[in-house]
Amino acid sequence: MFRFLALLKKELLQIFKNPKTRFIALAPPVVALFLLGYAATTDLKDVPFGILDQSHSQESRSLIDKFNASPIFILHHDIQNETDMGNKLARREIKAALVIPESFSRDIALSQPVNVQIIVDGRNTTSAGAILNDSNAIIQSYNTQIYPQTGSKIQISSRGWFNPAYNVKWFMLPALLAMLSLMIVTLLVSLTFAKEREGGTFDQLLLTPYSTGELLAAKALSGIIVGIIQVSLSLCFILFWFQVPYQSNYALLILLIFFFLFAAVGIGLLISVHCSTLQQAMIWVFLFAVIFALLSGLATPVESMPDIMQKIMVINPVRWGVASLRRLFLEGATFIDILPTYLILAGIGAGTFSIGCYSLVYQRTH
Amino acid sequence: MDGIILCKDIKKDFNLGKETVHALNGISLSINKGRIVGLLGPDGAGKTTLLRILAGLLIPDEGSASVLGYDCVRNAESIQSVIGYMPQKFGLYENLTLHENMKLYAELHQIPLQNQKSRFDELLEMMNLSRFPNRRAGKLSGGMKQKLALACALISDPDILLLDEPTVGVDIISRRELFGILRKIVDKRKSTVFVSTSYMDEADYCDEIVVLYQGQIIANGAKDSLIEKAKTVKSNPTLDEGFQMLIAGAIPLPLKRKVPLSPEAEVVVKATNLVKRFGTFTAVDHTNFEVRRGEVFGLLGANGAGKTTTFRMMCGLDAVTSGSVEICGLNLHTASGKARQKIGFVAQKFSLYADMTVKENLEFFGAAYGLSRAKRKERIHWAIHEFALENYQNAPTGDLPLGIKQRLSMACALLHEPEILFLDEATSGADPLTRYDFWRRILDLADKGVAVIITTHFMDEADYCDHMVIMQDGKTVASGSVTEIRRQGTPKGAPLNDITEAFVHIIQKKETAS
Amino acid sequence: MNFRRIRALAVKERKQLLREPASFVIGIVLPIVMLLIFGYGMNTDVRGIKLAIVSHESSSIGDQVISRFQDSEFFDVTLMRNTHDAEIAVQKHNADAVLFLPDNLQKHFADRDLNALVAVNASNPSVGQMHEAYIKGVLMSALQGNVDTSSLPGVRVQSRMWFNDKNDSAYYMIPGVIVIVMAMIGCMLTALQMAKEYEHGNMEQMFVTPMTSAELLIAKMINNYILGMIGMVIALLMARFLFGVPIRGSILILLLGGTIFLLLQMSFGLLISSVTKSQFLSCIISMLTSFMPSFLLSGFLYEISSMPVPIQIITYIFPGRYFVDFLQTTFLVGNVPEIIIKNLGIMSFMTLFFLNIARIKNPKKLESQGISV
Repeated sequence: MFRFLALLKKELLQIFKNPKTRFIALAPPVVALFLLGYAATTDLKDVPFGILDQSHSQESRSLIDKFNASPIFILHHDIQNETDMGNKLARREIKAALVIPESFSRDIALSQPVNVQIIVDGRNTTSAGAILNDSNAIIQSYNTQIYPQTGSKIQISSRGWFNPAYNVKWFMLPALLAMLSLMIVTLLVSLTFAKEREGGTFDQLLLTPYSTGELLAAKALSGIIVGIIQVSLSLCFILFWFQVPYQSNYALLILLIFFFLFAAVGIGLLISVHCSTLQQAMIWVFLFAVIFALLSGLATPVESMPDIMQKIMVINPVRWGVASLRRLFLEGATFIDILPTYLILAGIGAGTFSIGCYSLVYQRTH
Repeated sequence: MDGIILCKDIKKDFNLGKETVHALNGISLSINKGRIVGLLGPDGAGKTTLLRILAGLLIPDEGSASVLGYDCVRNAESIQSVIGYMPQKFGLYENLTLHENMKLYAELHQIPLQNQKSRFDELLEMMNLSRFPNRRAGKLSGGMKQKLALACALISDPDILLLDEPTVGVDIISRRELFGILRKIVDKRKSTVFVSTSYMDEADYCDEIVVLYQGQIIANGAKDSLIEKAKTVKSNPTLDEGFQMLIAGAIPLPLKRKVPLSPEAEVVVKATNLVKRFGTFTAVDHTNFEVRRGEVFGLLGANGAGKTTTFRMMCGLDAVTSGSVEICGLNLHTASGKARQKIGFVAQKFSLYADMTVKENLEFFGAAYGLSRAKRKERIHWAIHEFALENYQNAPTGDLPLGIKQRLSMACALLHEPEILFLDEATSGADPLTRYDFWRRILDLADKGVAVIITTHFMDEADYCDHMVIMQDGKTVASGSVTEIRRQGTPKGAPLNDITEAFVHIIQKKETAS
Repeated sequence: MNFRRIRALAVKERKQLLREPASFVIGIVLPIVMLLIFGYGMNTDVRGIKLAIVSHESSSIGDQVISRFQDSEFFDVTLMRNTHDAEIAVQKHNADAVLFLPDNLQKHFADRDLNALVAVNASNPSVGQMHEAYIKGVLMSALQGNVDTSSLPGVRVQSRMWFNDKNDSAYYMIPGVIVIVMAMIGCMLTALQMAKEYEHGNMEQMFVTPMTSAELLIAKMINNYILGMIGMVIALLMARFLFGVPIRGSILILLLGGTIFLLLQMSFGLLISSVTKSQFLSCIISMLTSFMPSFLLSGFLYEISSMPVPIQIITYIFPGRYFVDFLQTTFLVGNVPEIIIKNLGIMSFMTLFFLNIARIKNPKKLESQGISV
């Protein structure tokens, strides 16, 4: 046992004594989390919104006031005509525009239906959709204001469970935690192997009485420990700086992090056993990390992916990490809810670990 | 001074963490045209730094240097377009072929297209590489790579050649060949060669030598300038002895075994019918060895002879294709953990954990071999004393001077008191004093009953072996005691060759036969 | 500057590139994989929303509403009798959203005065909001039934999405992918190749030839430029013919923009490698300074104007935002001179700036390699 502990201690010393590896183990995740916590937002604000008011009436102004009162839009009144509006949209001087027809005040006065146009820039469909929703809501409230008696009283109120303010950060930050720790831990683990190979220490290590399993287990465990330190640091940031609420039992979170790191480390080991140079290891880790991150449900929902991709992505630990972190943080999930994730992550870890172990034994004996 | 290479009071420091290393400490020298000048010195003496300054790659902190009248700082580009330079990590592109590598340097030096072919043929012929112009550089053996790199440096037919350790890790035959080529060039073109090496005996091939030690010149001039001082103590001293005299002021007594190997000592390493194939290529072809307790066993051979592969199979780093290796009666395959417990290993390249301190490395290897806490403490205490590491215990090993690193490697390999010690060119790049010290310890261990298996390129070290095996093309071509080998390596009727000549004779005889 | 030497170096680079599988992974495999992922895998189409409908009694209008949801391909409906079950279902992920129909629905409906509640699982807020919008839409049309709203007074919105009438997310994803792919080929691949030459000692020998730093840099860039352009053309072809993204601007201008961005990324990669001289550090630094910002700070996934001001300022440093703006516009809008000139101008300036530093930082000296005596 103490032999194994010595090996583990060596692995940790190797990572933490070298300023370079210490740097990538701890700094980028925190910096990235900090930056992304602020940047990765889908909430709109300061949207430049053009107004083409052809009616110039009391009524049109009161509609415009409604838009002005919205915190999302910054109104631009200097639109001359439709051509000008088109140009301004193309040049991104405005992102959307409201066109009020000449007949607006007359139609309102006559209690006739009246059409206004809202034109949005479709270059970014996500924000375009959001702008349309917000504008529609403003116009609805205008309608109920001017026709309180005639309007239908059918109302649909809505409530967002677990995240009433629809705060994107609450979702994004725990998800980023999974993505970043996978990237860094996988990279670190795969690099320690390449490093031992290039530094000649690999031979020296192979000649000690350690078995292949022990060597891999120590590397894996050290990767998990580094991961835990890094994740804890990021967690503090998420909980105390960004103040994302945590609703479940902390033991479940710790267990999840452990299994998640186990899977990440397993993937790293598998890559590193098969790569003889640093460059190869880095490129493969990178390729996997990018694919896993993109298809993790962080940017677009997993459920919207084609079925075949959903099936393949069962092996994607980030996907399970993102989904379960969200349930633990926001939904107050119980052990039973997370159990399938634990099992899958443990399966990914055990699978990659044993294939890696088998490959290394094979390499040593052939 | 009218030399074509001139240095005046060159100083160069490097910052290594908190410490400053004086790589060069006031170097002045002058080299004349048309000579081969050897820059001798152990690793870390400052050889590479000096050559890089001359090539305009580094700027000296103090002093000035010039090559062909160009200042090394201000006119670096002019120097770089007229000299030939071969760095230690030769700048070959491993996934380009021989021909493509040469073509690249020819184009960079703007050799006219019509002259290129004849130049390539001439150089490949000279280097004895004409057989495979289309092989990728990465697939060449060490010696061939060195020759190709030299060919690339020679493409522009430069007046001055700066070569940084072209012979490191190269067998004696290739080394002779290389210097033969250099001599031909110098004779034909009156070019000047400034070549660095850590093998003192290569002074024999040079017209003049500059001996560097700890950033200072300790001898400069004709080859005899190194041994002059030693002559006062001993007649016919070797170059190593000259170096020892200059540094230590005395020539140590020759080393001798105190307890001669007993003929009935028990066999501890037994290799039977070892075969290693890589694809269709047979690297090791049915070799057999026996190594006894207390025996110093030397494994020699030219580059690519299969000696490294054999060595790696014997200590269990490479798997055998067929045949078997037994360590103290344990099969290296079926009882690998137990068998590995019995062996210690020192690699050619320093291969301990550079980020960890001396103490941490010792602690780790002690625990790795399962020494109990008390035992570990005792053995680490012993190692620190025995190898005089007291002052370095808490220094990161990566920053240590080479000699200390080699001592530490030995210490780590001996912590668990192995019965068999494997040394893979463990003295490569070390100065004669360090090597003497090293061998004193090895013989001591052998006296105590440890079996020692070594590979080396220093032929004088063969003298310490009880038994030697010379390999060629994967097969054993000679084996026996040093005297037996010398006899096998001497043509009938001629006076007995020394070990170096005997080695060369054996290898060349086989080569011409095949 | 000597063209013969540049050619010789460029030929060498080309051969190395062709013989190194790693560059193919980055240069050719990665663009295709990313485009397929973005084109097929990453969409926000809603399908199979698991909806629980809680209604305490049955009524004809209630049944009408329920059957509207059941008939819709977007919903997967479960009926429940009490609120508690619904809450559990959401927590267990058996339901994504719950629709609570009020008691006395029939009467309220007749009075046209009713209040229904939609609760969604908002732990992923953007998905939650989308579900909410879908449910509201269906519910509204179910309740309003065949009442003709067009004659009712009030303001009605006619909305149009310019430049992307079909509201196809591939339209904005694909230009984004081009940015990422070209950043990787330009910056990361160049930095890795260059750092490898330093580590393998090739640089040392190259320096002691008549070759100048500028020649070396140019030769390095030529091949990666070609590889990057192949990547871009693959992306353009896939965008146009596989995903049907329109290319409304001029192809030539697109290629010109690609050229400038690629040059910019390559010069940045050269700078990184000549400072770090290590593959490992080059990889990490190019990942942090080129890949991640192209992804997250370029306005491709997240609106820059919605970010906090300090972050918005940071985005100006990274070239991704200029290229994303340029690409999205030239793809979907057409040749808009102001956008083209502004973005390409800034990127050209940045290119010159980095190239200059890389040239100054990379004189034929090994000083920063430290001790290796």
